[in-house]
Amino acid sequence: MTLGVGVAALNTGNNLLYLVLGLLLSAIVASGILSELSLRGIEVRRLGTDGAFANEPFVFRWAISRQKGWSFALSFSEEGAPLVGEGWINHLSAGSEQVVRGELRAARRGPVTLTGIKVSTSFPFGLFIKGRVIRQRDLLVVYPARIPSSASLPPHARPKPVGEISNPRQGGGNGDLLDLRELSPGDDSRRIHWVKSAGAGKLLRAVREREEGDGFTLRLETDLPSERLDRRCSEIAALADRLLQRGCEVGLEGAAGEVRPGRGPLQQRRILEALAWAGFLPAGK
Amino acid sequence: MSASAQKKVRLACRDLAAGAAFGAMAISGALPTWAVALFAGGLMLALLNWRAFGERTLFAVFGLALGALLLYSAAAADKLDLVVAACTFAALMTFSRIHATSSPTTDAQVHLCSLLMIAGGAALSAEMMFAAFLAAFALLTAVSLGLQTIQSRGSTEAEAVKAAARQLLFGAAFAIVGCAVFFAVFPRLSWNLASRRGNRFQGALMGFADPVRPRGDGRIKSNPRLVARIAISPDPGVKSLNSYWVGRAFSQFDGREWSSPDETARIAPRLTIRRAEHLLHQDVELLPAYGSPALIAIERPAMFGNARAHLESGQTVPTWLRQLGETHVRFVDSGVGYSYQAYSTAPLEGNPEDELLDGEGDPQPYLQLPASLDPRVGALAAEVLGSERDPLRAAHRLEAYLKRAYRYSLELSDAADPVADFLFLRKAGHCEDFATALAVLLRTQGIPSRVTIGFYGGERVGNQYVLRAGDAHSWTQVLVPAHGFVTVDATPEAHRPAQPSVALGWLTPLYDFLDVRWRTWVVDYSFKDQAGLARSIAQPAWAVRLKLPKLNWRRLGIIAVVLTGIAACLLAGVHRRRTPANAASVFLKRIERALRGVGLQFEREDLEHATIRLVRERHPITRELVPVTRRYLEVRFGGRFLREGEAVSLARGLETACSKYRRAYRTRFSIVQLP
Repeated sequence: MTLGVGVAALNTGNNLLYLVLGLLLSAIVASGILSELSLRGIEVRRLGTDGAFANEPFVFRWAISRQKGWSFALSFSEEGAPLVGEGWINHLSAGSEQVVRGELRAARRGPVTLTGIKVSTSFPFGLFIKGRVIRQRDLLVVYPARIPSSASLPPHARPKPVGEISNPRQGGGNGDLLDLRELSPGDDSRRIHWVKSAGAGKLLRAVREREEGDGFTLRLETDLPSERLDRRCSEIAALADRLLQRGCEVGLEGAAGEVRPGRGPLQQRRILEALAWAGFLPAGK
Repeated sequence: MSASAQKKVRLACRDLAAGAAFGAMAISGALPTWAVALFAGGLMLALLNWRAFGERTLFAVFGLALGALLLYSAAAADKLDLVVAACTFAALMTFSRIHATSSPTTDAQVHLCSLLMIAGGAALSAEMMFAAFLAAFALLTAVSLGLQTIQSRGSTEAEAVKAAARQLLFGAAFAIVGCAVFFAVFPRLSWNLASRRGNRFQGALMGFADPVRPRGDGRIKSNPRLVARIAISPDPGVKSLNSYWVGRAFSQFDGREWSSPDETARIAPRLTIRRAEHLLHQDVELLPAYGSPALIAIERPAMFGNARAHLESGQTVPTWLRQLGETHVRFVDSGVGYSYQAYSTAPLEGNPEDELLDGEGDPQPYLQLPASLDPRVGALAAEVLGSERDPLRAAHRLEAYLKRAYRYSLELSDAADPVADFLFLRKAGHCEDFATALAVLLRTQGIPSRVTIGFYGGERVGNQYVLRAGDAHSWTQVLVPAHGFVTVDATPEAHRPAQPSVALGWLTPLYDFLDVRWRTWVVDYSFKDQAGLARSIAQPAWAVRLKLPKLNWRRLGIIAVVLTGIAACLLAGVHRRRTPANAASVFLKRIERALRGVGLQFEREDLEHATIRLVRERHPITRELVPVTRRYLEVRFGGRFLREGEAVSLARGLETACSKYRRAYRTRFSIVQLP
């Protein structure tokens, strides 16, 4: 439109069209100045995500603030990373830190290097988008895509009884104390090592030399092509999830490195992280 | 402000911007009346949030197609100018879009169509009001687009909307200033080929009719519209010129009307009326309100030439001139406005040294009288003149008599014998009555005379002089042997120039001041002006001679006081903005005032500790005090600003609790004291 008015003004010499052209061009400059004012002085911290799975949206957070003035219509995205999506905030006032939530999506699992946060705004007129990249290096580990597990569970991976009365096996293991692990949901409370727990400030359970055979070590084959490896990682993650939900101890070895058997959400994180790294690190690291 | 209220504000801004864009076209007066009525009505309904089309896009498309067909037909049949048809279609498109359900696409379409209308307005007229509509369009569009941008994914807090509106208005103001700078410096490669200088909105006001009838309507005297702009060289330098601008002279009077016999026409690009030295050059622009093809010039016109007609299409074409009578010169081509150059000699005063340059040799046509003339007219002339027979002295004696014995009035009605009606019945009239009466009175005594119409005055605006419709005037010229026609004006001096109404008295000069600058610096701005501007910027500072005007200390004092006040307000505003804790301090003072009312004064502890102490003591007002204290701490130290009206609401709650406590305490106290 500006070009059209410019051509018309030059062609006809109509001074009022020059006036309109001047207004349009000045509006473009004013737009640049106001969007610059909106972006100036913004400080961004990457808060990250609770967990990012491939092929599904995950919540990603940035903490933003500015010392003075207002910012409007800000959008946040990760510059240069294979992540789709952005966070958005209508306005940001001076003085207080606000957390922006964005829904991002990663196409495949693995470590994603985050090099910078792109802050952009379409303020004031919504006609142009001005952006600025704030350099901050970080690493986001995208877990394997979540798929329903089709593998059948081993026969002894049955649901584990919970609580003292309903536990027919009174499973405390025997033998010498082998290790102390954090108490996980489903663990028998009689296995809590109270002295050590009191010292550590959290509930720890004793692991004896001889315990019941409800532990599984999952193995990820090496030398799989990329797509098959991704698929395999997803399957193992799904199987591990099912086993852990049944209270089993699950470990991992193979292409994803070694994860010692364990229970609970933390163990699941360890396994997912190891699976996310599979193929991206030399075996054994 | 709720989300729906914010949306309403945004849509109102959008629709008003479209209205401003339409106004930029409508001031040209070129748009069809039905289009103006349709758009104005549609805009009113849209502002009331009644959208005729809503989601019915197909209906709107059919309507537009029908409108396009009608406009094309009218343009093809030469009933409508093509540019006007295009502008009308842009208005129809905007109308259909503002009546559709709002969406980002619809909003963008409205803004685009509005911009098209603004461009159409630039093509249709060169009126100063275009600038006002353009500025309004810029401001409203900026606010509308900005609100749309920040509300595109949900509503925003009122405080943020205000801050955004401030920034948007700043942006729009910047764009307007930038627009002026761009306009001034962008090189002009061609000169105003397509600007339509005409404005048909109010039509022509003047027009020199062939017959001139006394006792006619005199309301034009109060009309302030400009009809002509004249640059005079050498510049007289006076504020009011008070000159007679001759348009046309009449010699025949039939008792009701003045007319002139048909005379042989002389057509030429340049006409010389009389040869003379010491000519006064006039560069005249006749505006559309003038409405006549007759040329005017300061008494006595000597030469006309270099005439150009401004056509409705925006083109300016050279035109030849046609001389019909001694003082009656017309343009050959018709246009909505004209420009030409005229030269005049000094008017004759009837002095012996006046040189006879006119060819008014035969006095017979200027002695003609109507057969039905009332015999009392001649008797009156004879009575006033007595034995005086010198034409000029006789004319001055009658002039003095008419000024003394007759009243100026615009409240007139038509009469069968206007001269007798004026002289013997109403004894009041306007310039045509005075001029006619004087000419007829002179003729009854055998003194040749005629009536001339034109303008009286010339008010300085900028470097030019302007004539208004109200300056239209009529006067008498008496033929003095060996000297020619000498002007004698019986109309009282105060009533010769325009007499604008009191309400417009102060507004009109301001408008003219701006309008002259608009035309000089915008409409007619050219490469030559740019070169002049560049030279003035490039001129070294030492070469600039400063001419200090005579100082008016009273005015300077007022200006200094006003400027100091503005500066103080601005500084106070800046100070308020720089101290975000200010709101918290105001809030705290109000809390402390409320607490003092119940005898609680904190001299050695702050509000936080006092509140904790009162909570421990289980004071009755702690229920209201705790949230107030918490909010104060958030505002003061947490950067969580108070929402609009929040401080008032919290403080009122606390004050109510305090007053309740006070009443209860007094009651209890009185009960204790009574025994």
